[in-house]
Parts: sequence; structure tokens; C-alpha cells
Amino acid sequence: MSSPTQKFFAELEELSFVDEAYKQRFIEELHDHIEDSIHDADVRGIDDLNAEQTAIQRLGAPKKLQKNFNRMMKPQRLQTLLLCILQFVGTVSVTYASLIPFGGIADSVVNVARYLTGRPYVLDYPNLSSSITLFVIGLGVLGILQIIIFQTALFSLLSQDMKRSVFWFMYIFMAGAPGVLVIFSSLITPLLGIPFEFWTDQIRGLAPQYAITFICALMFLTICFTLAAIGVIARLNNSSFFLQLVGHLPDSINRPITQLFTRYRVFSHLNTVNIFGVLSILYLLFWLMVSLFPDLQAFLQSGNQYIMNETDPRIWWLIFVMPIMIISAIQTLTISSLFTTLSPIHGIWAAGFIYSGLFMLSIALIIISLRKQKIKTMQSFWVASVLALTCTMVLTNRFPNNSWDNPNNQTQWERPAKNLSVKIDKKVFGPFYMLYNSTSLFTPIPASQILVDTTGDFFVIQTALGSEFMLEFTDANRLKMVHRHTENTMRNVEKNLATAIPKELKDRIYCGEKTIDTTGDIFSDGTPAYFCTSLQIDNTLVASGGSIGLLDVAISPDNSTALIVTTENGKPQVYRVSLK
Amino acid sequence: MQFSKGLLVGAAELIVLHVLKTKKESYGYELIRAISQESEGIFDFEEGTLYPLLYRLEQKGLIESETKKAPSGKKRRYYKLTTTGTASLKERKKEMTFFFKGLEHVLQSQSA
Repeated sequence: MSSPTQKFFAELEELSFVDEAYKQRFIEELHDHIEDSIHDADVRGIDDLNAEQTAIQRLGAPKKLQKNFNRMMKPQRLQTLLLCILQFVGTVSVTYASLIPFGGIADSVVNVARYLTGRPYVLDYPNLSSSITLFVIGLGVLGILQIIIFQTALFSLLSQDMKRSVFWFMYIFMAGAPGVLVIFSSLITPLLGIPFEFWTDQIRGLAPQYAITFICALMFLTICFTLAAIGVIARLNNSSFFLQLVGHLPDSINRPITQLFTRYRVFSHLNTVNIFGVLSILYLLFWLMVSLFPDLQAFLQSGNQYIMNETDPRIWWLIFVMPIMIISAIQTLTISSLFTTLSPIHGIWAAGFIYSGLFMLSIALIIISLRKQKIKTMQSFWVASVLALTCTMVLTNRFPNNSWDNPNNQTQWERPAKNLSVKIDKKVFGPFYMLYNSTSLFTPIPASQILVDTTGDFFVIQTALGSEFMLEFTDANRLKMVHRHTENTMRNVEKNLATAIPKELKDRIYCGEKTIDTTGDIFSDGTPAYFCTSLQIDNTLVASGGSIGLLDVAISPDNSTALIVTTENGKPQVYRVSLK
Repeated sequence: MQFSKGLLVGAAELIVLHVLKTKKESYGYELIRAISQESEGIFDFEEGTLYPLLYRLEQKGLIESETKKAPSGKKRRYYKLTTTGTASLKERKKEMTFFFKGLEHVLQSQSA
């Protein structure tokens, strides 16, 4: 049986301290302290066991020591804020950097499969120098900052009474989730890549479907994790966390809040499992309702259209992008703006594999916690997590009338206008404008690919964020975004993907004094292949002055219509050209 | 007698710095005993308070520490004042003396 001293220190070791280095010193000095106490008691004629017990009693409970220590050693607010900022920067780098090897490995494996099936190669990861830079920056700060932030700032801000095991669970969730999970999930990428390539005909369209599923699920998970983390803390503190928190406010504010929490006991039931359970059900119900009631789906989509067409694109950006990937989207956008453009596949893969990673991690941790039978709360937490993930990954896709799964039940598209103009129409495309504005200090993020449908009236643009948008020319002067791209439209346009400029168009496009090289391919990863002082089609001047870069061109199969995307003095523009 | 936390916050650092100055150098257990003896049992520092306090003073550069052999022959971490600590102690003493002088005046006038 262990002695009181051993028991005391075992308990103390389990607890988390705001400063790990000083924790070790603290423990060593307490050891010395007890030794000196016992020695003194010995001199006074007290027997060893009694002396030991008296010394331990004098020290007090380990939790009390821990609280004292943390109270005195916790960082200042400014220090905490700085740590949070550094943490964010660190996570950004790591998250993005972790995509590089993962993207590279995935592409390599996929290309092997493509080689065997005679398909063209793909290259989805950014250039090597930016990857290395990011990787170095990312890994350099990962080990240090993410741990510091949790050891000190967040920990001391939220709770001083946390078990080490729970502490690390929270660390994974709140600080390391994006980086850790992307790295983790990168291990399975090749395994998923091969079947995707070999059975591409059978699963055509499933990738974008899952991408959208993943992205929506990320939104759900972000909300879940944020609330669940609060729930964990509340639970750890026997639901008194909020009361403790409001205890620091002035009495005038404190009193009504305290009364609220005391009166409405529902707040005291706030815990991880409840939050996850309720949100899972709500999430499931939402997709069920949308699937069962096409009118509701149409209503939501029309709302979406309205937002996209009628409001300031920046508002749309805030509404759409921000909630979806509170962590990953901001990080990806920031880092890609700083260093390079991203191809859409990164967004899809990042979302998808973070999600897959979470799923597997949840299962693994359930097994671990079942074996240990230590933390019942966390076990329930992971069970709830798996339930939620299963719902989003499997069940929602199996619902009837799910627009992602059943293209025959899509909302009816607005039909294209018949009075197509023969004029050249110059438009500013919302999302481009939006991206340009949001990243004006850095590099604008243009479309990486444009697809055109059989009528020539619908265009699908994939942006560097990984999102796809469908555009429609309703009349000569109106370029309208009719829908975010879905699987159905992907199927329609995929066959008509233009990969080269036909001679008919090449002969009619003039770039300043020069005609475009007839052997050239202006498709590139968001980087203009040609810069002109003016752009002319037939005898009509489309744009002139400054630096006009040709980004992309898509042609309808009957060669009647073309969509040209340029960058003019850094600002993307879209032109629709009638070729007849 | 238990002191309120607010009252002890500023005084605790001053007490530790002062005792370290008088003893030249000392380790945790010895410090607690010395403080208790010199204050005639009024200040009975808890271990959970003293050690973090020492760490904080060390982080501020007011004291420094090294491990060496105690008279008992066992290794102990000894703390001693730095030059900055000595200057800070002088300043704090002055400040505290002035404070107590004012306090004394106020309390005396109230009791009169």
C-alpha cells in the first residue's frame, strides 16, 4: 500500500499546472519540504508515520496547492491575448502546411492510378517553395505555441481544476484539431484516392457531393465543439462554472445572471452529451425536412440566390464562409492569400479528411475509454460524437429527395433567357469581386476552372476556395448566380469541359498588338498566361489600358458562346462573348 | 489570525524579500520557519503560497536560486536577492513605512 506521501504526490502529479517547468520544481521542493518536516518531527521525538501525516496535513489538499499555484502563476491578460494570437498564427501555418505532404502523397498515388487507367495527371498542391516555407513555419511553432496556449492562457482563463487527461482532450479539440486531424487524416488519403480513381465512373459526382456534406458537417462540428468545450468545463466544475464566471462581474450584473442560472435549472444541465445529442438531432432533422419538402429546399435556395444576387458580396461572404469553416476557412484563405493560390480540391479534401479523421479518432477514443473505464463523461462524449458524424456521413445522404444524392429531384433551374445578346458584355462577378476585396492586400484569388453547359448559358466556376458557383446569363446585361454548384450540374457540364481554345476563337482574340499563340493553352492555375495592353475580339475592343491578363476561357460545345475571365490591373472581370 | 488575501498580496513579497536579505540566502522550509519565528508566529506562510511566490519573484528577477548542500547534507534549492531585488526591497520598505505612517495617523484620529 502506498504511503501518504506517495499518495499525495501521485494526486498532485495528475493535476495540471499553468507552468509545467515550475510544476516539477514545485513538486521537488515539496518533497524536500516534507523530508525536512519529518526530520524536525523526528528530532522532537515524533514517530515517522505520525510525522509524515502531520507534514502532509500541513501542506493541505493537492487541489488547494494547485489552485494557489495557478492563481499566483497565471499569465497577465495581455500575455494571454498575445499567446492567443500566436496560437492562431501557428495553427494557420500548421493546418495549411499539413495539407502539402498530404496533397502531394495523395496526388502521387492518384496519378499512379491515373497512369494505369490512361487518364491525365493531376497536380493539386501549390508550389514547392511556399509549401516548404509553410511547413517550416508551421512545425516550428506547433510544438511550442499550441502547448503554451493550453498550458497557460486558456487553462488559467477557464479552469484551475482540470485533470490532465481531460486537459489533453480539450487541447486536441480546441487548439490542435485542425492541424492534428489533417495530419492524421493524410495517412488515409491514398487509400481513399485509389478507389476513387479506379471506380470514377461508378461514383461520378460523389466527390463534390461528399465535399458539400463535409463542409456542412464542419459547420455543425464547429458549433458542437465550441459548445461542447464549454459543456466539458461546466461539467468538470459540477455545472458551477458559469456561476464562478459571473462571480467576477460587478454585483449589478452578477446578481441578475446568478438569479437566472439559479432559477432556470436547465443551464445546470448543460453538458457535452446533451449539447451533442440535441445538435445531432437538430442537424439530422434539418436535412430530413429539406429532403422531404422540396418547397422548403426551394425556399432556402431562393433565399440563397437572393443573398448572392442582391446583396453586397461581402455580406454574403460573411454569411456563407464564416460559419462554415470558422477555423479552416479563415486559415486557408489567409495563408493562401499570403503565399499562393489554392486549387479547389484542397478545400474539399481538407474538409473531408478533417471530418474523416474526426470520425476515426472518435471511434478510437471510445475504444480506449471503454478499456480504461476511467472517464465516463468523455466516453459518452465520443459516443455522441460518433452518432453525430454517422448521421452526417451516412444517413443524410440516404434520405429520399436529397438534392445531393438524387439529381432527378433538383429544384428547377431558372430557364436561360432566349434573347441572347451578340454584344460583348462585361461584368464583375460577385465572388471574384468578393475575394478580391477580402484579399486586396495580397493576391486576388481567381477562378481555377470554368465549366460550361451544353446550352452555353450556364457557367460553373470553381473558385480557389474550393467552392463552385453556377452562373446564368438571363439577359444581355445580367450575369446572375443561380446556384451554388451541385452534383447535378457537375454531371451536365463535365462532358463539355473545355480544355483548349478552339481555332475559331483564337483567331478572333487579339491581345494588344499580338495574336495569342495558336499552340498555347491559356489554362493555368489562376495565373494569367498572357498579359496584354488591350483585349480585342473581332473588331470590338473589350478592355484596354493597364495590364490585362487572360485567366481562363470556356466555350460552349457548339462554339456559339464563350466565357472569358481576365484580370485587369489585379481585378478579375468576366466577359461573355457571342461567337456567332 | 487569518489575514485577508488583499492585505497579504503586497506584504508577502516584501516579507520574503526582507527575510532573504537578513539571512543572505535560504531555502523554502527554512524560510517558512524564519518568517514564522521573526513575526512571532503572526505570519505562518503556507507552502502552497510561499513556493509560487518565490517563483514569481524569480521570474521578475528580484531573486535567484541555485541548488546546493544544506547543513543537513541534503541538496536544497537556495534563494537569494539579486541587485534588482535589493533595490526593490529598499523601495518597497520605504513605500510601506510611509503607508503605515499614514494609516496609523488615520486610525489614531478615528479612535480619538
